[in-house]
Amino acid sequence: MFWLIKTRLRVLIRDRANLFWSFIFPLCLGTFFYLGFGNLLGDSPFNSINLYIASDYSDANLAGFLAAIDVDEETKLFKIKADFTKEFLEQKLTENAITGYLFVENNQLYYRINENGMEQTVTKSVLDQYVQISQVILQVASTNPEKVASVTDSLQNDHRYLETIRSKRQASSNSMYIYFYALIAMTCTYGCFWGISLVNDTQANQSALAARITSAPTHRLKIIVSYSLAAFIMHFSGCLINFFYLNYILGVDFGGNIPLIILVIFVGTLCGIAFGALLSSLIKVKGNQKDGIIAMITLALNALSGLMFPDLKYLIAKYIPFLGYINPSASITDALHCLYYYEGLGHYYFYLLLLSIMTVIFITGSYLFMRGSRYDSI
Amino acid sequence: MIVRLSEVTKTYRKGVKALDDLSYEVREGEIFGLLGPNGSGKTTSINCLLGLLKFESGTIEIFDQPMGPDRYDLKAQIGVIPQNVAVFYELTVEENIDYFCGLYVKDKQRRKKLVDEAIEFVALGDYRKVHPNKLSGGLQRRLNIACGIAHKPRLIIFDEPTVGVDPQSRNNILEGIKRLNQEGATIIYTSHYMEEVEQLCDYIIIMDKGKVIAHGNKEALKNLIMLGETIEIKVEEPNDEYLKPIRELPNVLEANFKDHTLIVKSGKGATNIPNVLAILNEHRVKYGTLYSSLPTLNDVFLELTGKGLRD
Amino acid sequence: MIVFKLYFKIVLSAKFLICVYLGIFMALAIVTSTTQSPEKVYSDQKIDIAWVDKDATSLTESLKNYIGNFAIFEKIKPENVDEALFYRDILVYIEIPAGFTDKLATPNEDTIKIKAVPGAMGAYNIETALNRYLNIARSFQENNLYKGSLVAEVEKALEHSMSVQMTKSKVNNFTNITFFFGYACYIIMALLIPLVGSIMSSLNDLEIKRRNILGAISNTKMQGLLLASNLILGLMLILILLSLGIILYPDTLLTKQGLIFTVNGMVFTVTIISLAYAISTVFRSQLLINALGTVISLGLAFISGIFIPQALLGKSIQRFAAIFPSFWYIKTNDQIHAINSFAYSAMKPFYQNMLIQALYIVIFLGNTFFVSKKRMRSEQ
Repeated sequence: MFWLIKTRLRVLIRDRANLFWSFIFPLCLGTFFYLGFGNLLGDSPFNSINLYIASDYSDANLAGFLAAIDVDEETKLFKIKADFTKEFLEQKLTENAITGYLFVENNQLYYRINENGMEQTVTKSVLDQYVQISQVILQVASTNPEKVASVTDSLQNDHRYLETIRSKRQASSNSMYIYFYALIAMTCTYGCFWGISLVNDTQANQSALAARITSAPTHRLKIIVSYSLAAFIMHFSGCLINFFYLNYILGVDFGGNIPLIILVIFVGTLCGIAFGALLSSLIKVKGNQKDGIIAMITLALNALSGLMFPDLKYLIAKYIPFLGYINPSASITDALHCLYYYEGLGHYYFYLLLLSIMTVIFITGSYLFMRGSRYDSI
Repeated sequence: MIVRLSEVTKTYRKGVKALDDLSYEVREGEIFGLLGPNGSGKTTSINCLLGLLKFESGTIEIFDQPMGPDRYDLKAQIGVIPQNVAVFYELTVEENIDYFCGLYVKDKQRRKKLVDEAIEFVALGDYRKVHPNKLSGGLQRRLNIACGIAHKPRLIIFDEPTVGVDPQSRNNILEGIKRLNQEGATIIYTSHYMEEVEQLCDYIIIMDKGKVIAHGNKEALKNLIMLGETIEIKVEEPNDEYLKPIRELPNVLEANFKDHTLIVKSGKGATNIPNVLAILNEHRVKYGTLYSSLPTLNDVFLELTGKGLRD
Repeated sequence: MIVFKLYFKIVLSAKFLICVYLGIFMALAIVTSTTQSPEKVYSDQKIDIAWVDKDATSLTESLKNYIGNFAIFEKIKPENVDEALFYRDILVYIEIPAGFTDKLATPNEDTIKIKAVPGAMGAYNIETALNRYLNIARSFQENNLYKGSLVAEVEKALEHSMSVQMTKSKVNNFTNITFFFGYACYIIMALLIPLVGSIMSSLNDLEIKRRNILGAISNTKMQGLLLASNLILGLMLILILLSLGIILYPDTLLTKQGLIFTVNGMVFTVTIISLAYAISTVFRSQLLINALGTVISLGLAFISGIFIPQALLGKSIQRFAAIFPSFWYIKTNDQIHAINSFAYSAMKPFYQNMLIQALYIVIFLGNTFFVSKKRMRSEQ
């Protein structure tokens, strides 16, 4: 059996297509993710917002108030630009070159925008505060003028009433990491391509090569197990390399519990290969068409587990939880997320158990299809 | 008997009967030919023989023992050369032969010797380290053969091994098969090329629609039909005037023109040519080259089924 | 005609695979565009929060009412908070400790505990609103500015807000089709590059090419006909996607603005066809083309702003992504969304993108014909 595994590994290590999907593609995608939102993996979600004020309206109080708001020690929330006329700003707004601007009309201050985007929402929230504080001071000035200074001082010394609770594990909590967990899940499920090769080379009704191997006196179970082990060794290596690349080179935080992460990847790899073998036995078309169909199914499962839009995962968990429970990608993503998010391991073990059950079902199903060596047609 | 199929019936899902009460036997040491057009059931019977296909009824025995997918002891003595090239494109020529031999022979040293012999047998010595996708079609076929015979099996099954192969490679393959037989192997050879089967096989069965329609050696098969001789004569002027008396000759089965060639099919007899020539001379017909050929297996098939082997 | 027939025969031979691809992508498009929209992610919409008030005073009750302008309250037990945040049942959890109101003037003691999903946009609004309310209340309290009810005074002060002017009152909301066309960009890339690559790789097979060279059609004409066939295929794809869009969003797609979205999409399809054509000319291996198709479509989807809005991408990434046509397509797609008139100044970004896409088409096709000619000479 060792000889069978060795020879099979020799075949697999030269299988460029599968090597690409297991080793190269996850690294490329991980790098793209990192490039795409490496910016968002830190804690600060905002870049300074350019806030335009029409130059024919000047209010030092407003400009001062807005310029003083900071996001953190180094970053101010706004960059105030007050050198442009209303006509010019209106033109720029029409062209969508700016998100909005402030101007005065009939002694009323307006914030003019195209749409309710992120910048506009944040800006409006701050401007509401300015308007409210201004109104308070105006009111105090008319009723208790002697207290204006005290009230102004009091309002300017903004006290923070909130304390953000974060567990030690969530110290640098960031929902963008979901993408990377989904990427690990995708890498595991791409074991399906090794599963396809496994079936193609052992099922006599899939290829002449498999028919030849089936005609040989080596026990069928021995061949299936050896080929499966070889596929597992290859794909597990690829998944581990991907994980270490994300964790140590790109610096993605998985929560630190490396053995448990490797355990998920271990089970996920088995699951992916068995899933591919099962689908390959079930789908009757051959060749590139079969590969394409299985690739699409896997991509769909990964999309539903949050690879493209993390919110999709939560919507499914909320409205169609059953779909989440039967999706191996979702189980892997959730298991990794739980390790990162929770202090305890209860949730992690739940998803690991779910994944293990699916793996056993896929392995059993594919074995039932593969063990037969007599077919209706070849 | 090395192989015995008894009344084997196999029907595919759409009601297509691939094998219809098929029976044949293969003696030890012979080259057994399975001849028939595409779709006649040759490959299906081979796959049933190897335990790869289910069949509804009948029995299959190899080496006088019932054959089944778990009969690894029987499989160890069989070599298969499938119709399509069945090798790993990721492995080199040598690695491929070593792998497939390794499924039969566990001893490393013995296996090495067998692999070297197989490479020499198919004359692929210069291509040991080459991958199959870099080989021509003919060389790939040779590799395909080497993978099936390296372990020196008692029974070797060749399923249309020369499809798409150039004439030189084809000759090499046929010569190789003869040598294998001389070394003691029993060969089952399937093909729709009658020339190969005629050249190679000791005993032939002709199949059509899953049934045996004729069997025997080539002489016995040719004796089954009425046709004894086909005469082709190039004439200057095709004319029904002399065609009619030729047709009326006692041993003539058929006479027609094809362009400027007079084709006369006659039964067995020594005077067919003189009789035809006498009529031509009588009518002062100018003629040129003359060919006479004995019936082929294609003629046998044609007469038995009304269609050619490659229709 | 014979070339077209051959081309579409090859397409039809893979019809099952194409149907599966399209089916899955369309299902994903329906799910994602009906559940995702930029507006839900970052706008003035209310988010789900949990509120635990251990102080239960009129002030905290009033505070809750004020926060109700920004949030919808869900009943979650404190012990289930982590799980609720994990599954996004709520985005923020707020807990007011007992005795909070009494210590309003000394806010460093007994602060309000807040737990939020990191990066949740609505959470910022909630936090600033909380601080705003409490600071105004503290200021009134410290300076004794209320007669009777502190709460009433604070509520009166908070009635004011910034006056917002929208540039146009939108009868139609184009957010959904913006997202739909954005996702369609990914579908177009993910489908067309492997599909065109696969077809062209069959036709570029050396032996077939040699046969074609010996035929009556010149190589230039052949390439032209194949390109036309590819364009027809691309057009068919975009029409299928448009049909889906019309079914989902008839009110918005069948408008002038919808037409501009469509034209933008069609031109991008032509660009991708040209790119796919170029890839299939340079690379022969089907496996490599499939791999490239997946890497390019997914990779560009992330860095061009399809899966993550362009506004959230880092500056250096945006500069890098600007090399690719998908970046400009998405940028224009977002700009079309905010168009408020069809005057030249408003439409300028759209026209600019058309020119940029045309430039890409010229570059890709130019490269194709150059490589094809060079290869033909070497093969001959």
